[in-house]
Amino acid sequence: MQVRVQRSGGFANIGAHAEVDTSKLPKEKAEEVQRLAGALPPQPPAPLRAKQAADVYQYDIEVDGKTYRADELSMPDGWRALVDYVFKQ
Amino acid sequence: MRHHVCFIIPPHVLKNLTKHKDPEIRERAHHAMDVAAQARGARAVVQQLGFLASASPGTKRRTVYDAQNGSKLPGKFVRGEGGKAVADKSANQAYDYAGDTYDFYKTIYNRNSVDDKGMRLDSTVHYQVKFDNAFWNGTQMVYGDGDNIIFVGFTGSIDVIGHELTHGVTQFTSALEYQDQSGALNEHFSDVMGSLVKQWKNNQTAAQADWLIGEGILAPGVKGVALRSMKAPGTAYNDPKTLGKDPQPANMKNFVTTSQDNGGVHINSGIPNKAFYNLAIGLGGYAWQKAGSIWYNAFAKRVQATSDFARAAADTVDAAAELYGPGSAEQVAVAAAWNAVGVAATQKTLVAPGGVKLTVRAPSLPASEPGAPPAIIPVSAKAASRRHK
Repeated sequence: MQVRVQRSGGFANIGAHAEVDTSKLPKEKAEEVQRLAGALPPQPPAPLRAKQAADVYQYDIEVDGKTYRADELSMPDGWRALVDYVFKQ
Repeated sequence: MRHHVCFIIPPHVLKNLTKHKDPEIRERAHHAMDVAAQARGARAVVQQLGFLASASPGTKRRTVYDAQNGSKLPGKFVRGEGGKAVADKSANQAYDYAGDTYDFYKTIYNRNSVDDKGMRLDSTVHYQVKFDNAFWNGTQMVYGDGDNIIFVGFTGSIDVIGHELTHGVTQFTSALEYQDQSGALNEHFSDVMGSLVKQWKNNQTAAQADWLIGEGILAPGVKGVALRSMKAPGTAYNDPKTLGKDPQPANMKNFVTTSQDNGGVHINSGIPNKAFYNLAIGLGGYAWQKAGSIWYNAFAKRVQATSDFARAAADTVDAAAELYGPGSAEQVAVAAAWNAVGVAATQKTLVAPGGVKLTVRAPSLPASEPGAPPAIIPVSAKAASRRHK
């Protein structure tokens, strides 16, 4: 499983990027990525956006080619857990 | 939402609490009534609570909270309107610069806070840990401390605070959609007003101003002067180790198409930013006077939620006509400012006093280069040159 996370936007618009390939991770970490990714819905919903907000970060989470998009205020906790984990690797 | 409990406190009790000797309780009572009124969406509630600052013109109300490095908003109350400076520098900056922004809008454009009804200006500082961002969440401003590697605190720059508050102004006026060109216009208007607050505070003419956004929030050692330059988009920073290179274009021919950043809202804003700079320099003097008035009248009164660059440009041409007359030097300058960045101000014919017809040309891409013919083509060249000499 490949997971890519891209952060963009924000007042400063300084991006951040991280990705993992579970086939190249130690077993324990690979299982954790798979567990966290399993919390995402099977199909990406329409991008989640806080309507009146401006300058908040945009996150794109790509899991095996499927892209989930949410801003930092609208992102479900489950997605955030995956994002945080991937950025830490 | 914060202070849920306040919804069940009857209005007359809240009213009494607004006179409580403890400033935090006063502010929380004010806030609870604001929230209650908004939540019910009831005009009657606002009228009933008419003594509220939100219904009294020309009243500045600020509140600063501390997220204490967490994500919960608004956080712990730190300072309310009229309260003494506190030990926390960020809190005082958020308070002071929000006040300058309020004063700027009130004094120059007679706008009473973001909603023009005296809405309280809430700010939260110390959001999360080493947070490299500042944002408007639809209700309030939020500031991070920066990681001290790329950014120091986001409250240190008056234009950042003017920028964030202007997102509130946009929310209550054009409601420009935060995506693609309309999103870049939303960002652009925040940069314009953020810079004008700074210029007004420093009493600088357009020629004297630095036209930078976020000057002073980059950490020492970062190769750059600010986050954006309205004067020269794309030149604010260039540091491969931290920020990379400023990606802003200054002309439509370099418009960036991307799915990141809501379609490049912080990137393509460089194009209208440069147009505004062109106008301000072209007209001379203080930018908040003529150029700012034209922009305020266009963006707060004419621009629509889905406007693109060309539509907004046409709105600024119209606003200039309303303020300074059809065919005025100011209106010509507005069209020329847009034309210089490759934006067509929508094909339309203007009728100047005396019946002189002017056509605002829609130039085809690629955009005209500097020195290209001006955007306004007089139908009667003789009459127009007489008029615009």
